[in-house]
Amino acid sequence: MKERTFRQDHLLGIEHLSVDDIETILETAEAFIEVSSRDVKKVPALKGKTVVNLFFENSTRTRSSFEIAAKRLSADLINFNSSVSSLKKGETLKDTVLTLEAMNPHIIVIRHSASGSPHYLTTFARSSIVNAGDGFHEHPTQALLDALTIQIGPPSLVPVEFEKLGATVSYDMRGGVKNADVVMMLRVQAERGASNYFPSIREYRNRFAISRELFALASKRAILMHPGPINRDVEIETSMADSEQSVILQQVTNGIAVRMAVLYLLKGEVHETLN
Amino acid sequence: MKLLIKNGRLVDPAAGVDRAMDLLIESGRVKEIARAIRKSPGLSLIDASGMVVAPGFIDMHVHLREPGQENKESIASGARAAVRGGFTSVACMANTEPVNDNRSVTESIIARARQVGLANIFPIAAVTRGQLGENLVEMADLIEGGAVAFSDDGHCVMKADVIRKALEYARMLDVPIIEHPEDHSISAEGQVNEGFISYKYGLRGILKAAEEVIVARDLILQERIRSKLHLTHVSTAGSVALIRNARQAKTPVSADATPHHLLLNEERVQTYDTVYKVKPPLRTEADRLELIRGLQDGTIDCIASDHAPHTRHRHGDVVPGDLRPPGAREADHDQPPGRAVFHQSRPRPGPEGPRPRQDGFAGRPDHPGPQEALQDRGGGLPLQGQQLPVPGLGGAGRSRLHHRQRQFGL
Repeated sequence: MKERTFRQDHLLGIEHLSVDDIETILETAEAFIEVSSRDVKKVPALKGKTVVNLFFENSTRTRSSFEIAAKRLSADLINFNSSVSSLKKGETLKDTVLTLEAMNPHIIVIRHSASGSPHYLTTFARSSIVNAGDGFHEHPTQALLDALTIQIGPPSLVPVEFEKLGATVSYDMRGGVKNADVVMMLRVQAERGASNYFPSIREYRNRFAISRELFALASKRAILMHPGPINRDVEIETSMADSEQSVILQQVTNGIAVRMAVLYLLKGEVHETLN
Repeated sequence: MKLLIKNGRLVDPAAGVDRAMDLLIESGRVKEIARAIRKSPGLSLIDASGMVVAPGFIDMHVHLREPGQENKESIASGARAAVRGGFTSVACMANTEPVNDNRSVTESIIARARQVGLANIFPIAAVTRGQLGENLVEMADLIEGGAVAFSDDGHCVMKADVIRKALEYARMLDVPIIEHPEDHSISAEGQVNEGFISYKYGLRGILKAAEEVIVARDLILQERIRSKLHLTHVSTAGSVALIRNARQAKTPVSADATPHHLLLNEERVQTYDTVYKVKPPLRTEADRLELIRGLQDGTIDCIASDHAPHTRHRHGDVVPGDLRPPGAREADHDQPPGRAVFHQSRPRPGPEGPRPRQDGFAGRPDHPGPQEALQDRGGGLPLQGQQLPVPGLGGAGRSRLHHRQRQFGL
């Protein structure tokens, strides 16, 4: 394994990572894929470390993925469920985190609907903070397990300003998919009010859902990605979701390896523990 | 009681003065202004070397939070903060609890201000009862009680028919209506200026149009009504253009901008520091520069702070995204400005003012100055610690300053 060069205290987003950082995470993740294929899926890399899953939004798959990742590294993990927590009693986010910190965890994995909340935690917390999705902002471990991205959608969801980020924005599915190597669909997030941005699911499906016919325009060996959970027959036709070209479930498996890599790089002892 | 202020730079734009002068003050009034006044026994002396000496500043847009939210600010703490910055007169907005929409609240603010003493406090009453945007307040009664203007600030008067009637009724009484221009249906849950930065950082945006459609609406109504309309905290180049055009067409209107919109742009929000979460949001650099041009050419009449403290757990602790503390619909909107901004504001017109006492200020224009006064209750200061450019204060906008004095009766 490559010499560890990861020098971040937190994983807040992809934006602040160097190419080296990203390569280190991905290479480490590759090594962890093997661990997950073993009969005994456990290494002692985070033995004695405590990881807190602090989830203020329901995201069962991300939470489970971090949980499995932490446990396969031998960390102790607790899930902090906001619905039964003192936040319901009016405690501020800061007080909640300070209370958790008094229990001396090593890593806090936070999911919160407010953009910037993980950044806010780093202004006072001592633990390493891992962003597991902050509202409309980043979801870096998801981004790390998704390599190439093509985003297509109506302009009210995907403003043309996204081009400044380096993407090419198109509102025409056929043109966008044509000759693509990777087609990544994203879920229509009704819980964030996405359905107010276009007239109806029916119109969205008719215009933007990925169908066999559309996918045929992509390159021959193209893969179809989706972070899940999928809305069958909204953004993705059932036949496509279950097709051979779909790598949706593979993304889930890779997600564990990437999260193991992140937790390990942030707080793991020395990399010999892997061998 | 005699007081001699020596060696200062006397700046009084209304009188066209900007030069080294000594001042002798006797029983609260300026007795003598001269190049050099001699010390004599029994005089208290202030050595104002390196300082600007000016008539007391006026801030026509502050939130003193009393009655009802004294955990954020009170008349006493707000007045203390004001005079520390050289502001001897402030006009306070009506979004208190209860709302200042009836004479008894106005009178209680004035009574409390008198007890505190430090600064002249001019209550601005609500335009509509409870600031709910439906029924007009008893304006005439409120004026008798001491209200100097009417504003639902914190909220826009959303119904065009209501603002129309308010402007018409206020014309009869010759008092200003101060509009907080924001179409709430557009701004909704927005946090920052809508554009590339809001998309990139995943923060809900507020389109400039949210402000401009109300500015345009009010100016169109005002063309015919010709009341006293003041647009507060304008923040976009589009608003400046609309107001400039209206003025050229002789539509009566005045406007202010805040120090933070004149000095900061939206790029500040990239740190997710809630100190930069203000309403209206910090805009683009192009907007900021146009606000400055508007100030220079007289489209914008004055700078007003929108001093609006929040408690730390409501403001400082709140992350910039969607999280709001329980029951804090009003919270997180505005910001207390830095103490340093006070040096940016223009002094009020000279000693011929209507008040029996004269208010003055001596301070260093190039120094951020003490900030504890605002920090003791408020959350953050967007201009904290920032060295500010010192504008040429001399002479600028004399006629406009007089205009403002007439309009607000300050």
